[in-house]
Amino acid sequence: MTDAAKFIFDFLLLSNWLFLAYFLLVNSFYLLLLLSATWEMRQHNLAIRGEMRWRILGSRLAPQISILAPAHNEAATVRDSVQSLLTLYYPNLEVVLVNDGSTDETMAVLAREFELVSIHPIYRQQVRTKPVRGLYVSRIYPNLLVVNKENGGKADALNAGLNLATSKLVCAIDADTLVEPDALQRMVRPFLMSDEVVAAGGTIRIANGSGVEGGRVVAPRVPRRPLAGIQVVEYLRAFVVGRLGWANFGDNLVISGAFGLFLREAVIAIGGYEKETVGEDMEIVARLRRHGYEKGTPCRVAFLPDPVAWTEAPETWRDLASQRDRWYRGLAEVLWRHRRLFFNPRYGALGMVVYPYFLCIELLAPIVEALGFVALTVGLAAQAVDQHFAILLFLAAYGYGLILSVITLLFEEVCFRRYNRMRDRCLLLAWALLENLGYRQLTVLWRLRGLAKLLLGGHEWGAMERRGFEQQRA
Amino acid sequence: MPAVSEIINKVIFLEGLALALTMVCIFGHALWVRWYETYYGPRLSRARESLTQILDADEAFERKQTPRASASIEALSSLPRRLQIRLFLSLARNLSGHQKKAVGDLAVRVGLLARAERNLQSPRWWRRLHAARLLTVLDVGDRAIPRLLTDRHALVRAQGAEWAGEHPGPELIKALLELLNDSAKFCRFTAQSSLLRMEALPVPFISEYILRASGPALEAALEVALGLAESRLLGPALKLCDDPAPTVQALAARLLGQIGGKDGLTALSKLLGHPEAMVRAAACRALGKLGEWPSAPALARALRDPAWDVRRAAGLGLRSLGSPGILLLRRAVSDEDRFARDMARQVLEIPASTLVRAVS
Repeated sequence: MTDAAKFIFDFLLLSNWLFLAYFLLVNSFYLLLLLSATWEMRQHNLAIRGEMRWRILGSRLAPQISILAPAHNEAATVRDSVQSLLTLYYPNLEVVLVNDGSTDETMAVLAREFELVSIHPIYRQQVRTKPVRGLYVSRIYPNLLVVNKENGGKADALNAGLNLATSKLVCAIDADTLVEPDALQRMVRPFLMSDEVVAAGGTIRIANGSGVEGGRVVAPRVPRRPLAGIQVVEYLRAFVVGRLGWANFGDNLVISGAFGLFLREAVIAIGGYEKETVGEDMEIVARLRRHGYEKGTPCRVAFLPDPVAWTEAPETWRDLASQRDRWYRGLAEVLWRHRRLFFNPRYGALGMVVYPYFLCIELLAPIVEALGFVALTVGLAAQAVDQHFAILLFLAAYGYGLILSVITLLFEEVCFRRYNRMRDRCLLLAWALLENLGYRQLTVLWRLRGLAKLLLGGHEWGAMERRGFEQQRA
Repeated sequence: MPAVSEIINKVIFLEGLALALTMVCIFGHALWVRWYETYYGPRLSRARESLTQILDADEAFERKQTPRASASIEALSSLPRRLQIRLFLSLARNLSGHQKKAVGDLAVRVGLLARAERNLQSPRWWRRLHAARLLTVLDVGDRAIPRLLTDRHALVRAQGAEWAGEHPGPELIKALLELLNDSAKFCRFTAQSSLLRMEALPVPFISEYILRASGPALEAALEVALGLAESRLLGPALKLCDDPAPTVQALAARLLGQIGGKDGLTALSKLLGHPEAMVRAAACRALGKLGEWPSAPALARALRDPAWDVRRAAGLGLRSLGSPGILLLRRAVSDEDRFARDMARQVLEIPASTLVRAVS
C-alpha cells in the first residue's frame, strides 16, 4: 500500500469513527434534554394542579392580550378563523386581524361577516411597515380590529399589528392556526410569574386527520398518511425534547411562529419582526434575548407544554421539501446574523451553550449525516471499514434515535394522552419506526438544498397547498 | 472481528430491550388508564350524583345523619383520595353559601380536610400548595392558611393571598399589603387582586401604606388604589404628586384623574410642566378624564409638547371636554407648531362614534 493510499485508508477509518462519536454524542445530548423535559413537566404539573385560572384571570389587573393574525388571501377560511379566535376563553382579549394585501375576497368577507366600520385611531408607527390602507372595527365584536394594508409579507403584517395593538401582551399566530380555547389562559402564566419573561411559546400539534369543528380540534387523531403521521412524531420530539428540555435550563431560542406570546414593549424596543429573513420567528427570539443581555433588560423566554395550537402539516413531498428547506435557511440565516453569540461569555448560557448547540447540532447535523453516509460508503468500498462497523454506525445514529422517539411517545402517553385510541398509539409507533427508513434521509437532502439556496442568495418562502380543516369534520 | 460483533450484539440487545420496555410502558399505561376509568368511572359518577342530590335538596346539612348524607359519604369513600379531591375541586368552585358549607362538611367527614391541614405542615411545597388550594376552594382553613402568607415558596404564599381575598379582615389586609413588597411577581399580583376583591375595606390601610411604602411596593399599592378609586385616597395621591419617582407621579396623576376634586385639578395642572413625558401624558389623560373645562387652555398648550404621547393625550383630552375643547382644537389646526396642528387635525377627524375607543 502506497503512502497516499494508506493516508486515505486511515482518514476514512478515522472519519467514520468520528461520525460514530458525533451521533452518539448528539443522541446522548437529546437523551439529556429528554430527562430535563421530564423534570420540567413534573414541576409544571405540580404547580398547576388544582389551580383556579379563572379566578386569577378574573382580576382587573390581569393583562390584556392582542392576538395578531396576519391573513393573505384567506377568503375561504377567514370567517371561521376569526370566529374561533373571538371565542377563546380569555377575559381581556383583542383580535387584530391584518389583511396583508389580499387579492381575493378576504376583506369583503370580513366586512360582510363582522359588519366592519372604519375608524381613525391616533397611533404611532413605532415599527415601519408598508402603508396601511384602512382600519376597521366590528359592530358585532368591539374587540375585533381589522387592519387593511399593502402586501409586505408575514413579518410586515405582524409589525403593523404591533403598531395598532393596544395590549401589553401580543400573541402572534398563523392564519391557519387552531388555538385551543384555554391556551391563552395557560400561556399568560409565565408573565404573571416573573418580570424577566419577554416571550412564551406553546406546543404546536398537527391537526391533519383530526376532527375539526368550528375552528376547534374536537377529536385528535394520528394521521393515516405516512407523511403527516411521521411529522406528528417529529413535532412531538421537537417540542418535548427541543423546547421543554431547554425550558428547564431557562434557555429557549425558538418560539414557533404559529403560536407565541410576547411582551409588546420588548418587541417594539428591538424594532419588531425582521423582514429580511425566512426564519423571522427564531430571529425575533434571538434578537430579544441578545438585546436583553446587551442592555441588561429582561430577556427570559419561557416554554409551556400545555397551551396547545394545532396546525396543518404539508401532505405532499413538494410542500414538505419546500418547508424544510425554508426552515433550514431560516436557521442558518439567524445563526449567521447572531454569530457574535458563539461562545461569547457576555451572553451567558445563550452564548456558551444554546448557540453552540444550535450550530453544532441543529445546523451541522444534516451536513454531518450526509458526509457520514458518503464516508461510510467509500469506507466500505475501500475496505477501510467493514459491515460490522456500518451496523454499529447505523445503531448509533438510527437505533438510538428510534429509542428516543419511542420514549417521547411514552412521554406523550403519560403526560398529555391526546390520542386515546389504541389504533392511534400503534400508528404513532409505526410512524416512529418508519421515520428512519427514507424520511429522515430525505429531510437531510432538503436541508442541504436549503443551504445551497442560501449560499446562492435564495430568499423565497414557497407556497404550501393547504387541504384545509373543513374536510376533516369529526 | 469477533470483538466488534460482540459489541454489536450487545448494542442490539440493549436497544431492543429499551424499545420493548418503552412499548410495554406505553401500552401498559394505556391499559391501566382504561381499567382505571372503567373501574372508577361509574363510582365517580355515583359520588357526583349523590353529592349533587345533597346540594339540590332544600335542607340544611347540619342534620348530618340523614340517609342521603350517609350514602354520599359511602360513595365518596369508595373513591381514591385523588378522585375525591378532583370531585370536590370541580364542584365547590361553582358553589357558594350553604351549598359550599355542605360540601365542606362532607370533606371533613371523609377525612379530606384533616389530611389537607396535615399537608400544610409538609416540607414539600407542592403538598402545602395543593392542600391550600383545596382549603381555598372549600372556603375553610381560617386557622391554618394565614400563616402560609409567609411561606418560603412563592406559589404557596400566592395561594394564601388568594384565600385571604375571600376573608377580608384588618390582619389579613395588612399581610396582603406586606406581600406587595414580595420578590415574586405572582405573589404581588395575587395580593393586589385579593385587595381589589375586598372593595372599600382596605382603603384606609392602603391610604396609610402608600405614604410609607417605596419602590415597586408603592407602585403595586397605587395600582390597587387606581382600581378602588376612592375619594379617601385623594390626600395620599396629592402627596405622591411630589414623589421623586416619575412612575409614582404618573400613577398618582392617574389616581387623581379617577378621584377628581379641585385640589386634584390644581395638582394635575402643575404636573403638566413636569420634565418627564410619562408624567405629563398621565396628567393630560387625567385632566381629559375629569372633563373639567377650565383645564382646556392647559391641555391646548400641551398640544405643542415635544413628546408624541403627551400631544396625543392632550388632543384626546380636549376632545373629551366637548365644545370648549373642540373650539381649542379647531384653533390649533392653524397653530404655528406643525406637530400641534397635526395632532389637532387627527383628533378632530375621529368620528364621534369611535371616540370612546380612541380615548381608551
